[in-house]
Amino acid sequence: MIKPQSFQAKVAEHIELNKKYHLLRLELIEPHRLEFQAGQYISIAIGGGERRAYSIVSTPATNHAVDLLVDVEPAGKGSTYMKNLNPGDQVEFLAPLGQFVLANEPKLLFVATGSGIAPFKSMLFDLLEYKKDTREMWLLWGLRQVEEMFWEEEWRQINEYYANFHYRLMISKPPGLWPLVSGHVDKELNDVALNQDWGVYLCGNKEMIAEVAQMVQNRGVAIKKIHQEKYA
Amino acid sequence: MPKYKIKILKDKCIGAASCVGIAPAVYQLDDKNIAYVVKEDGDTQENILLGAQSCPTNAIEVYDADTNEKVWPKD
Repeated sequence: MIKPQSFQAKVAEHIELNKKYHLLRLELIEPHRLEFQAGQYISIAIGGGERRAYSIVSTPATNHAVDLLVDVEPAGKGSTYMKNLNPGDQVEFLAPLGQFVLANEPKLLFVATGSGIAPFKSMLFDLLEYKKDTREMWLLWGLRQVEEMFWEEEWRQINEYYANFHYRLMISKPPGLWPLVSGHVDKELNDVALNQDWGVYLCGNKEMIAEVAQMVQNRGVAIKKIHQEKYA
Repeated sequence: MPKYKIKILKDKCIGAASCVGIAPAVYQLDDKNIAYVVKEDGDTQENILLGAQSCPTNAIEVYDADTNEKVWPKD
């Protein structure tokens, strides 16, 4: 692992994806390059000596900036700080942090809820677009409501382009007559032919992680091949 | 004598290892991926505190060794 260090950066973009999720791009000032592994996170100073952790959404190929996905709905100190950042504002963060990175399993399953998609966007775009990885990969992503949806086009495009990548988005509280998949991510697991070849990566709320970890173990995935990052 | 006393709240630790990344001579993960303290004065005070502050779940508490006052997290 690369030793973390302190970075000064400037907010280059702040995009409101919808009412719940914002995307921030932090352009590095000093040091001006960051080496990291897809799946790692930064710890950003939010004032008063406090810090918050955010997974890096962008891929390691973009080493001059980091993109972060922020759930602004909790409206706590961290999310309020991030929500109020404007282009040009300067921030300080520690990076790279964490060991939620890819191991070397022959097949890969990613299961996320909400903003837990953040490290998987980095991992999957790095694997598919930059490393041209041909392993079978599945992404199951659960959101609560249709209004929370974002990045549909990005995932649709790579789903269409890469035959080895399979993607399902599930809405747990869909409106009436919702034509796409509804329910929880665990339901979709039945479509994945799991066995001991799979590495399973879980990111999101702790209930989903506990439930899916147990389900995939029951279907033959070894515990050491289940990797998890809990989001509060 | 170390300047800081460190307490790991094991039930809060999620094994994110940010503390290990910042101050590996002070913090390590055990075989259950839970942080523990190797040596309370194994790094600079700044790095010991940064290691605690970088924890996403505030699972590391830091106290002044002389006064027993909590330095991190601030209540």
